[in-house]
Parts: sequence; structure tokens; C-alpha cells
Amino acid sequence: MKYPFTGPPSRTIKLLFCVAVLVSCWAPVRGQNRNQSHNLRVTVMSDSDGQPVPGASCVLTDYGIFAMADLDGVAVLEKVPSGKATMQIQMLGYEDFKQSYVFRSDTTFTVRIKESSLALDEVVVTAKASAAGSSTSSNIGRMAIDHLQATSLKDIMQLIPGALMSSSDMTSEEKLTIRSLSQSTANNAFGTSIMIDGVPMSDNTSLSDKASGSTGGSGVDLRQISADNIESVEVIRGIPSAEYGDLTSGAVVVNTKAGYTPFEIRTKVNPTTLNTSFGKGWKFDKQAGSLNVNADYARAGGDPRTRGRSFDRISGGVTYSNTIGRIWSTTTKLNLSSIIDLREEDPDLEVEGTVNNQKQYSMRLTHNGRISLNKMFSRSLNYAVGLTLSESDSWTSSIVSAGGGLPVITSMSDGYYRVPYITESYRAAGGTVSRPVSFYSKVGNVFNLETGKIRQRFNMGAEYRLESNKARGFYNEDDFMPLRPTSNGRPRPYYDIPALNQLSAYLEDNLTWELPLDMELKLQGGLRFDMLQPGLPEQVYSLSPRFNAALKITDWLSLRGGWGQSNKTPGLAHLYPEPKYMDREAAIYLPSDTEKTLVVYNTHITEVVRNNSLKNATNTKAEIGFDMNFKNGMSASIVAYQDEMLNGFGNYTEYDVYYSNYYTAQSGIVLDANGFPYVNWSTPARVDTVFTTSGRIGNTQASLNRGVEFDFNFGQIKAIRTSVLLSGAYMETQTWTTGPNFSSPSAIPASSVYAQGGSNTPPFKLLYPSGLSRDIDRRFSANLRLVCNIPRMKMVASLSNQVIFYQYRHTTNQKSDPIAWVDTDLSMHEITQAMLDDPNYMIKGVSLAAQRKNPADSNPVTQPPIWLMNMRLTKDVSKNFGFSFFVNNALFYMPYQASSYSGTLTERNTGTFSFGVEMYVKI
Amino acid sequence: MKRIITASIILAAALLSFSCKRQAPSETGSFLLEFKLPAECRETAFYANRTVSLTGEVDYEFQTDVCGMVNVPGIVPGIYDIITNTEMSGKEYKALLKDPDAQGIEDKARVVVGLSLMNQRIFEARDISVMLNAAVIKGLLISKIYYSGTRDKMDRTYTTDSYVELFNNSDEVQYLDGKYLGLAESVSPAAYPAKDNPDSIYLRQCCRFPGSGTDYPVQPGSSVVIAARSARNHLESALNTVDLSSAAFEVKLTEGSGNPDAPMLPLITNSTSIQYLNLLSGGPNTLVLFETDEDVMSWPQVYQIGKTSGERFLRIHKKVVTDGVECLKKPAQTDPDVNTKRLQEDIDAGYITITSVNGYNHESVERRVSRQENGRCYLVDTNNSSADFVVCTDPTPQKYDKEGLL
Repeated sequence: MKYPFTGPPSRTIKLLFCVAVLVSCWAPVRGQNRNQSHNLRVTVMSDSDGQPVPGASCVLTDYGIFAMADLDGVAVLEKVPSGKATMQIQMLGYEDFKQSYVFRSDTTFTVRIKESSLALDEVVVTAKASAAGSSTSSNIGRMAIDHLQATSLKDIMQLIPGALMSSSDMTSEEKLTIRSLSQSTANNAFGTSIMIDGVPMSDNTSLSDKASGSTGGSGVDLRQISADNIESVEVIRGIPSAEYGDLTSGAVVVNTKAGYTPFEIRTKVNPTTLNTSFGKGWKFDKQAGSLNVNADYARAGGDPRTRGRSFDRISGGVTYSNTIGRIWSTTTKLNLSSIIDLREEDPDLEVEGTVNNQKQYSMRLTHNGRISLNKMFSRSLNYAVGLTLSESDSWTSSIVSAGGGLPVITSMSDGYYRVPYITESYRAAGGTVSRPVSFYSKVGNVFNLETGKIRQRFNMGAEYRLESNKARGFYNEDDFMPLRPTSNGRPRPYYDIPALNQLSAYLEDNLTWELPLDMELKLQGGLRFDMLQPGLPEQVYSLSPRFNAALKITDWLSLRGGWGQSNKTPGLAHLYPEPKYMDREAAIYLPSDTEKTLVVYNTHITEVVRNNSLKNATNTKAEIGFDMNFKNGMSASIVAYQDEMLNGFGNYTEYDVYYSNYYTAQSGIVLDANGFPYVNWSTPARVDTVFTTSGRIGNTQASLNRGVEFDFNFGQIKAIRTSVLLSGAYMETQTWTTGPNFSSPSAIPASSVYAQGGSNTPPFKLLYPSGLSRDIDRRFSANLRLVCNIPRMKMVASLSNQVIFYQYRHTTNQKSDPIAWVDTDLSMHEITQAMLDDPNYMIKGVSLAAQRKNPADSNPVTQPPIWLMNMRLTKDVSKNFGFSFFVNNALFYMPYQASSYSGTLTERNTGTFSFGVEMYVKI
Repeated sequence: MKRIITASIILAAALLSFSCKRQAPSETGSFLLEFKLPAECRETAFYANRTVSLTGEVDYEFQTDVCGMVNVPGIVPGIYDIITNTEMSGKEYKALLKDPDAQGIEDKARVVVGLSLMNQRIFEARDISVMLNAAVIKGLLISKIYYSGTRDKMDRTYTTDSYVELFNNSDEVQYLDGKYLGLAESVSPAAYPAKDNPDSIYLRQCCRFPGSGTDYPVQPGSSVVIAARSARNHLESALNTVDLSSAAFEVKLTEGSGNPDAPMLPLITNSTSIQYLNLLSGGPNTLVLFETDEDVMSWPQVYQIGKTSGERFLRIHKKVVTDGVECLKKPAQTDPDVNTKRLQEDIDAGYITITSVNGYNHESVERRVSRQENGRCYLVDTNNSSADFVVCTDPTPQKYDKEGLL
């Protein structure tokens, strides 16, 4: 597969931008247009009954000029420059209205907007591609969410081109990745920003939970977001606006309901999940604003054949929105949610007795507003403030297997410790307590400039975030009976972990240039600055330039391209890893008389030195594509993309060396008069030189995602009122590690002193080149959706046919020779080709020839094509009652197929069959 | 037309009457089975008047004639194991040899002449000629292997109680000094199965007994217990387990650690950094006892085929092996896969396996007792674990007069 660009794609695009910007500066300024501006008076009315729609927001997207409709449905937009502009009107419960006008004088006009209903001629139940000139994204509206019967945000992602249809059962964490096929999702999910009502949800403060075994800094768990309260979702896959920061993969912008809604109850039932919600919005008189209340309860039980797993979510929220003095619109939200995730082993299973219980309570208070100032350098100001307080408790109880003799090591400082040596398994319990707190504030300003045929909208702002997680952390209920009696099971309080401070600023110019022949160039150029932990040793900052461009060639064809960088700051889990405990056996004396047992361990603790070696992860995105929009409703868009992140977060190996004594019955262990042993510390039988790592996290994970996404809308076949949509993607993901690649030499004789000390006492460490082994995944999938819409019956039925034509997986396994060796004094010695060529060359008595790795390359595995068919139906029975029904894998197609590598037949499409129903009542 | 119909009916009736006769399985017809004595025997000596068994579709037993031949009258076609074993004194065996002193066999030694020819496809009358093996019954035998592990008082899996027992089956004192105990590679899929390696066995771990020649004697009819992981009284932790506190050896890497009363049985080669004898609770575990004057450490240590990293296995020639036992893994629904056998047929023609897939069921494999004389036991040793070993549910070190073994 050849890509339109394979190397650094930026140069051409950068050049294009520079030329465009220069031209824009020289463009003749036409005086007559410059100061002419008009006032627009728009009356927004409901299409069905002709009543005014108070509270509707009217925005001229080219300028950032906005106004809210008053009680009479009138919105006044002031100082609108002459020329063409696009008016967007949005109101909860109504279809979005978007149309371009040419304004030459003060104008008064009326817009009739349509109430969202299945009775409309055109109902969108799929994702809509973004307009050219902005980030490549997909917009998903309420109708699509209803039709999909989504219970959480994750379900909605299957509408994105290239994403596969899935049905989630909510009993495990749901994290979101964008444009990635990799099995290791942590960096991609961590770099996906989830913005809810203008305030990001953060995973920056999560730390590894040793009670349940989850790691920190791996993305937001989406199960906490109820889908029923979502009004719309925008998934930004391409180069995001500079307004969005602290991300690498993309952003998911969620708007929840605010304003008047009828009283509505929804209930969804499917074999694994039950979900009920209600919502109601009130519009108060005069200037009192509106209030919206919602509550949601979800219970998931997972596979009904296995007991012991359950998930409960109770969430609710209150939203108050008001417009003060026509120019200041505000929305204030308070959301509460409670998640209880219970996991216990099925008592019938062989290994029984483990219970894991995770509870999370969170409170989220957000306030955002927009002030229409209509000043020269401040058309409108926007701001957002958010405070999120969470309590997350994870508790585990299990039987610790003594396995016939278990040293219980609980020392919290360096030294030799006599430890209990238990021979009976015991029940232990422990947990992790987290108290993530996140404060977010943002101020933004928008103004526009007119210079001849060039219109510019400037968007700038600053952000501040404070995030912390000061809590008890991981604990054992009984410190002497730890849940994990190993080196990875020490208590870890979070109190001394610093809080995260993040400062950001951004500036963006959106430029529209009317070219001759009715062509139009849209450019979006932005720069973002992010700084984390200012003033601390680990201070890190980054600059993210971002560009998007679109050239409209004719009314129906436009080209688009973009290049940009985005940066994700490390989280607490990356910046402040836990100290590394290394426990080494120092003496083990187990005579038949168990009273005289003596077991000594040497504990060595390595702390990660705080410095600024950990940088932000930088993703460089480049895109090129075209969009076609025909008058008859047909459209097509194809985008080729490449996302390259060479410095994602991953383990970084750095060695420290220390000495550890070993005492035996012959040397060091002495018996007292009664035959009880003690250690004579000065006479060890052996002194081991131990290599230990620090547990540092570095920028060592690299990934490359590239591919082509396509989205075709073939329009509606009028005779059968059926729309045909085809979307899909060819995707490739490569992942590899870039950190230092050390390993211990092989072929150390078992009887040598180095082998006696176990695996951490090699005579030296070898450094191999890194990044030679790559995981490569490729997939070509397409989804053909047939959507039949019968307005008279108020019914929409859809059939989704997904075909994965091609699926490829390969791990390259390269030949590699060591390039250096590290002695026990940590000195690094180069290994030359001459040394490698000498078959008898020895390093500290170990053959170098045995260290040359020449692995057999594994074979790529491809899977035969597989298809899947899902059916959905939504119907409004009356104005007050409706239902939806879905069946996934409608034909129960689960064939046995063999991959190219193995002849073993395996069942595919497993777990895809499910069905469910949703009913709703609106009063 | 009518005529055609009538003709058809008659034809059909005729066909029906001739077709579809159920046939009884027809026997193969007679053929000759010839058993030749090993090459070092005189050409005039024969394997005369010995019992030969064919087990398979139907079980048969035949007697060889004076020329060591069996004239098989015809058998039901199928897949058969051909087994014959004759135990004789060293004196008797030497009488068969071209040069009685060449082999250095003592008169009072016991020699087994025989073979186990597994999975022979006999579907037609075809003469079969095979050469017998002769093996001096070894002094030291692997007599018990307990690898399944058990469950402790809290119902957790418990595997540190595994042990291996060696038995002196001869009438003379045997010395462990300098002998080797090896554990064959047990990776899945099998890295070096015997079917692809007719002469070599590849060891994951190899232990060398200490001593300078006569330090570790084993009296005739007695045994030594080797704690694979921990020589302690495991009954303190679990109910169904064994007391290894008086084990003669403990496998460990450092003398003076673990049980100070149990001498170290050191691992001299080790494919991983595991510091004990790595018996797998569900198998496969293939153990060999061998002796050699060569420097074992100079023998090649090789990676798996196609790999240049990971575990390296010590290659030993099968001729140095004095006893070997093949314990295969029991798959969930089928019989063990004999293609994964690591031992050649002349070392162990069969296999033994515990009844559980993953182990932890407190089962051991133990060598059967062939006879008891004056209070001492002689164990069965036909180099075929399928016949020599049984699965016991009551592992007890050094106990041979058990019901199940007799």
C-alpha cells in the first residue's frame, strides 16, 4: 500500500500555508466594506405551530457573533459585516438549522426551525462528517443515539468510519481509542480528550490500583457517562482546533441537554443491561431561565451464564441555563454519579474466594457562559469553570496462597529483615482509596477582521488546571497479612504526590478568502502552549502548531488538508511512579524443627529521581482529502491520514547496582546454645551484585497510525425512502518501543555465582538496538448502512452490514546484535563489529557469540473476510410514546474460520449476537 | 413401456437380493512373526518358547517356536502393540552371546530380553521380523514421581511438596555419587520430541549427585527421596500431602539454604532461573537417570529450533541413560499425545499420566512391585511405563508394600 505521503508530510503543506498567509497580508483593503456593518434581527419560530422559540442560539459561525432568542423568539445580531455568512441556529429538541446568507444592509427575517421527530422527511441516524476547513470529525445527534440505543458513550463510537460495530456489556472498563488498531490502548486512550459541556474529564490523576490490578493514566472510563442525557457528540479525529489541548489522539466533545424538554422516561432492556432514565426541562417565565433535571439508572450483569460480575450506575444532574440581559448566556450544571462495579469469582470455579469491589462517587459542577460584547477586538467572550470531586474506592479480598512456604515481606525501608515464613494460606484484604480532584478554568475571546475578500476570525484563550489525588492510596487491612506479600504489594499513600498544575494558552486564526471563479479558501492556523508543573524540577512545556485548510473548487468539490501537533502532558502515574522495592533472599534456614526457622530478606528501595526527563507525548498528524457535496443530497469524502507519535509514555529502563549478602548454614547462620539460629552479619557466604531498575516512566512508546477513511452518502432512493450510506477505512497501526533495550546475557552456567543469585545478578547487562521489533496491524473494513425512513409511520429502520475484508497482524522479529555492555559498576562499554566477528570473544567469561540474536521471523497472520449484519428500528407510536428495537448479528452468523497461519478453525463474530428493546414515554 | 417397467422391477429385485451382505471381519490370513535376538547373540541362539502378546482390536497371546518364530494363524485387522519380555539371569543371557565376557555382565545380574513394538498396523498377512533388545536390569530405578501437587488447608493450589524417589532394585549396594538426574524439556509444543530425535534427549534441568564415589550408598531394596522443591513436613500446610522433612536430598542452588539437614542436589544446568526441580503439576515431566565419565558441561546446550533466545536445553545421548520415565500431560478430553514423547522406545516404550489435566489432585506415579522376597521388594522394569507404573492416590515416600503396587 502506497500512501499519498509517507515521509514527513508537513513541508508542502507548511509552504502552502505560508504563501496563503503572506498573500492575505498583501491583499488590497477595500475601504468601502471595511466599516460597513449591519444589525440583523432574526425571529426564530417553530415550524409546526408558528410559535416563537425562546432560548434558541443564533450564531454566525464565520464571525463568532451570537445572540439568544428572547421570549418573542427574536435574536438581534449586531455589527455584522457585509457579505456572505453562515447562520447556525440550535435549540434543544429541534433540528439544527444552518444556512448561508449575503448581508448588505440591516435585515429582519424569520427562520422556522423543525422539531426533532421521526415525522421529518430526513432523519439522520448516522454520523455526519464535518464541513471542510475545520478538523476532520463526525457529528452524532440525538436521533442517532436513540436509534443506536446506546447506554454509554463508547457505544456511540461505532458510527465513526473504520470503527467496528460492537455491543458492550459494561462489566469492564470502557476506554476510547481513535484511529488505532493496537492492542495496547493505554497511550491512545489517555490521549483522547473527553470534553463535556466545555470542561474536560481527566484521567491525569489516576494511579495504579493494586487492589484491582488496573494501571493509572490509561484513559477515562466512559461508563460513567449516561448516553440518555447527551444531546450531541462530536468526535474529532483529525487535527483539532488549538482550543482543544492536553490530547494526542483526538477529542470527543459532548454536549448534554440543557433547556426545556418534555417529561421523558426511557427504558432499555437487553440480555446484559437494564437502563432507565428520566428527564424533564422547565422554561421559567421572563428572565428566570430554564431548568433541566435528569436521572439515570443502569445495571449490567454481563454474560448471564457467568455469575459474579455486576455493574451499577446511578447518575443524575440539574442544569440551569439563563440569558442575562440578552448578551450573557450561562449554563450551570451539577452532576452526581455513583458507580459500583463488583467482581467476584464464581464460587463454582476452581479458584474461588476473590472479591473485587469498586465504587466511585463523583460530583461535577460546571459553569460556562458566553458574553456577546460586540467590540472591535472582542466579539464574544466565553468562559468555563469546572470542579470535579471524586471518591474512588477499590477493595479486594482474596486468599493469599502460601504455596508451601511464603516469606511475608513488609519492610518499608532499606535493610536486612527477619521475616515470618508462613506455611498456611491466609485470607487478606486491602484496597485503594483515591480522591481525584480536578479544577478547570478557561477564558476565551473571539473577534473578527475583514480585509477585502478575506475574513478572519480570531479565537484565543487561556486555561488553567489544577488536579490532585491526595488520599490513603493502597493499603492492607492488616499490615502483617498483606494482600500481596511481594515487592509489589507495599502500601502506597498518595498524600505526598504533588498536585498537577497546568497552564495553557492558544491563539487561532480562521481565515476565509473568497477567490475568483467562486472558489474559496478556508484556513485554520493555530498555536497552543501547554506548561505542566511550572517551577518544579519536572516542569515541562510544549508548543503545538496546528493547521487545517480547505479549498472549495466548485460548489460541489473541495479539497482539504492539514498538519498539526498535539501534546499530552503526563499524568500523576507517569510523573510520580511508586518507589521500587527489591526484596532479596538473604538467608533461608528451614530445619525440620519449624520453631528454628530463620528467613532473612534484604529490602532495597529505589526512588525515581524527580527531573524533567519526561516530556509531553507529541502526536504529529497530517491529513489530505477531498469532499464532494451534490445538490441531490449525495456526498462523498475521503481522507488519508497519518498520526505519528514517537514519544508515548512507557517504561524506561535505568539501572542501579547494589550489593546483597547471602548467608548459609555453613557461613553466616550460627546456632545459639539452644539451637536457635541467628545471623552473623560479617560472614556472608556470598555477596551478590544486584542490578535493579527504578520504575521510571519515559517517552518510550512509539506508534504510527495511518490509513484512508471514506464516507459516502448515496442519497435517498425516493421510491423506497431508503438512504444508502457507505463508510469505512483502511487502517494500519505500528507500535514499537524506543527506550533503551537492555537484557541479561544468556548462557550463564547454572553453577556460576551469577546464576546462584537468580535472575538479577548477571555479570553484566547488554544493550541492544531498540525499535527493531514492531507490532503491525492492518484492517480494511466497510459498513454499508441502509436507512429506511417513513415519516407517515414515524418510523426509521436501518440495516448495517459490516464487512472486514482484510485483517492482518504481524510482529516483526529482527536479527539484532548487542551494541554495548554495562558492567556492574554501571560503566558502559561499546561492542564493536570485530568483537562480534570473533566467535571466541568472551565478556567476563560469557561468550559474546551466544548473545547475538537471530530469531526466526514470525509469519504474518491474516484473517479471511467476515461480515456482520445488525438491524435497528425506531418508531413513534404516538406523540407521547415510541420504541426502538435492535438485533445485532441478525443472522446469527458465527462461522468457523482458519487464519492464514494456523489451520485451527476458530469461531468468529463471537459475542456479537444480542438484541434489545427501548421504550420511551414523553409527556 | 410396460415391458421396460417389468424388466426394471425384476432387475431391481435381483440387485437387492445380491447386494448389502453384512460381512464379518475377515481375518488377515496367516503370517510369520520372527523375533531375532540382539546382534551380539550367537546366530544359533533363538528366542525360543517365549510368550508374545498382541494387543489391539482383539488381544492375542502366542508362543514362539524353537526358532523364535510365531506362525500367526490370522488375526482381526487393526493396530496392535506387540510386546514380549523375558527376564533371565546374567548367566543365562551370557550363554546366548557370541562372546560371553564382552558385555561385562555379571552372572547374578538380571537381564530383560524383549521389546515393545507399539501401534503396528496389521491389516494384511505380512511377515514381520523384529530384533529384540536386551537390557541389564538397572540397580537404580526411578520408582516414584509425585508432581501433581495438592491443595492446602485453604483450598489453594500447593505444589512445593513434589518429590522423586530412586530405588535400588538390585541385590548390591548402589552409589548415587556422580550420577545425574535430568528433567527433559517440557515446553508446548514439544521442542524435541523423540519421534524427531532418535538418539538424543534434551534436558531443561540437570542435577548431579554430590559425593566422591561411595558417599551416598543406597542399600538393595531401599530408596532415597529427593525433595524437588522443599524438604519439609508439608502436612503442616495441607492435609493430603507428604512429609519430606527427612528427604535425602533437596534440589537447590545454594548449599546451606532451605532445610539444613537435607544435602543439596545441585542443578548444574538450568534453562530458566528457577531454583528447584521444575516438575509441572499437570505434566509433562520426563525424568532420566544417567551416568557418564564425560564432562556434561561440555555437551551442547541448544535453543529451541528456530529460536536464538529463551531456554537452552542440554543435549544428552540416549546411550548414557540408565532409566527413564515418561509422564505425559493428560489433555482434557483425549488420551495423551504420544507424539510428544521425549523418550525413545528403548528407554521407555510407553508413558504414564495422572488423571487430572492441571494436577493438584494429590496423585503420584509409582513403579509396580514384581515380587517380594524376604520382606524386600523387586520392582517391575520392562522399560515401558505404561506397564511398569501405576497412578496412586496416596503418595507415601518409601512405601512399596501398598495394595496398588502389588
